[in-house]
Amino acid sequence: MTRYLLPVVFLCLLACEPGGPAVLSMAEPEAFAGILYPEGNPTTAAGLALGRRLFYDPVLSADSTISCATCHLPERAFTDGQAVSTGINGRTGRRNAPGLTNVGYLHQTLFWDGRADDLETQALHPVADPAEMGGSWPRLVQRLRRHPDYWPRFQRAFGLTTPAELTPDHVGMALAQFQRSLISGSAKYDQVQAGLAVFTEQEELGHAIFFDRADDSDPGPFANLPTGECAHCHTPPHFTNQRFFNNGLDEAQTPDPQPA
Amino acid sequence: MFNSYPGVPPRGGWQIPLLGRCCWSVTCSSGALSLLIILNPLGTCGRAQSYTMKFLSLFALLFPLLFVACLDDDDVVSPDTVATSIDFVATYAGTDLAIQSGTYAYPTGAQLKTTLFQYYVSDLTLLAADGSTVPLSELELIRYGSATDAATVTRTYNVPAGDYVGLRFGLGVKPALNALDPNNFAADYILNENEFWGPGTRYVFAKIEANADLENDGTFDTGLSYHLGSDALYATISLTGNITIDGENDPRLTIVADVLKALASETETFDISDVNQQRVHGGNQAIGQAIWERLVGQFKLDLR
Repeated sequence: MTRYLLPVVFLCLLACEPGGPAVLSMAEPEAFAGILYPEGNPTTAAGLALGRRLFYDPVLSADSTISCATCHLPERAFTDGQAVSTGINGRTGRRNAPGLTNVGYLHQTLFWDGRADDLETQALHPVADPAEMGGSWPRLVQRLRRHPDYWPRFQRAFGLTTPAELTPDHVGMALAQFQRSLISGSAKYDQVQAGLAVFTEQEELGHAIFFDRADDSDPGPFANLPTGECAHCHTPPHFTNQRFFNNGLDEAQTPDPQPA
Repeated sequence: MFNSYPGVPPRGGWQIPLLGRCCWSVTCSSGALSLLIILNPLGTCGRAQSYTMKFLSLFALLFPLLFVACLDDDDVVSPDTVATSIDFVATYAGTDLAIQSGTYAYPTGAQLKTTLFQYYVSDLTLLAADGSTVPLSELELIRYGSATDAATVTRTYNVPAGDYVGLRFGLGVKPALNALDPNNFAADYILNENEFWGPGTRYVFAKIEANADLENDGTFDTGLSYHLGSDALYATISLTGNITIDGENDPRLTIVADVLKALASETETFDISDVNQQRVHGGNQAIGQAIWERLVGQFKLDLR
């Protein structure tokens, strides 16, 4: 009977085998919600390594001077600390570079103006932005297809067989896999929540103001503190509600000139 | 924008066909193809023919299972179910709620601009005329939070055709879910919509936020935020109405919630000029108790 069942089982496995690289299982902080891995772009060792390499490589820019990491510096929580970022040929953008820590948990639109639906599409924007990398996707894809190091990496990551199959989407998918790996769950706040550390006195006061402890039914030592009402929007553990609000700054300046 | 490429699993995902939803386009087509390939090497004479007959018999038994395995869950539609929409409508004094843009009179003479109205609905259930119940949804978040949001939020469910006498739901997050921390859910689940106060106070069941012009000077400079919720406040609401669902001329089920009716009744008005009553958060729920009770009591079911 076994000899008959085996072909059937093989048939089922054949039908279901995706054929792609093995999916990585990434460690996640205990306190966080489940990170979001899109079914169409699971994180793999080859994809993650490729995305990391692309992230730090200026090859994506028109003159090979600007990489993603130029504005998203690891030592600054993947931002650059500037009011507005500086791109190719010293051109300045309109906004600052958002941090990327724990960006894989976000499920609303990305960028400060929400123009990208997810990490895969977000990663496509800076390459052709004249104030960022100033490049051209057709030229970049041609370069990557001929690249002696990158082409084999794309082959391994996405099971491509011919260079013509390589598209900008694969670049976006690799960069998205890398960005989803930028998980931080061990800040002082996280350690305190886990019982592994305690706040200093000043940190404790700040925590109480941030979370409106004065409004508690038993506020204790925080009774006379102001309520910052910060946590309404900056909700832990990611300290964002991912939504857009008008905080009145547009009356002071207009960062986005309207087209004539 | 997001295309499918060779070797890259489609967004629908890959799963084992005998265990659930599968990649039908591969399984069903290549499954039939593989059957022919496997049969051929067995030959057609002597002992091999005997094996062939046994093999074919085995396949006669198993082949239907492959097709059963290939059925997409989404394709299974009972002829007796009807896609039925429920409209959750928000109003202020009976007019459609316009977040940020609408200016509304408050009984004390102040003017309000509502900036947020939302509530969780647990265990939304249809009540059948024969006494049975049809669960529609375990949890919904009904939110009106943007100037671009319509005053109607619609959810659609597959409902068995039949006669119904009303709807039932819990206002808030039911205790079984309220006990679970956000890390029990995916980051995009509706309990991870940034409504978790903390380990002690749990999820915010409902929110009403507005800016008030208390002095009638045209400046809406007094913020009001009423964030309500606790296991003790969780309430079950039943709404009655004769509903016949048969796929033809079905009524539009409309659950209406009025912000003003939550803030004030004909006999009782919440004093929004009292600075101690302008914010209700996790720890001072007692201040908002009356708002919650009025919110619970004001839902109505319209059949349109």
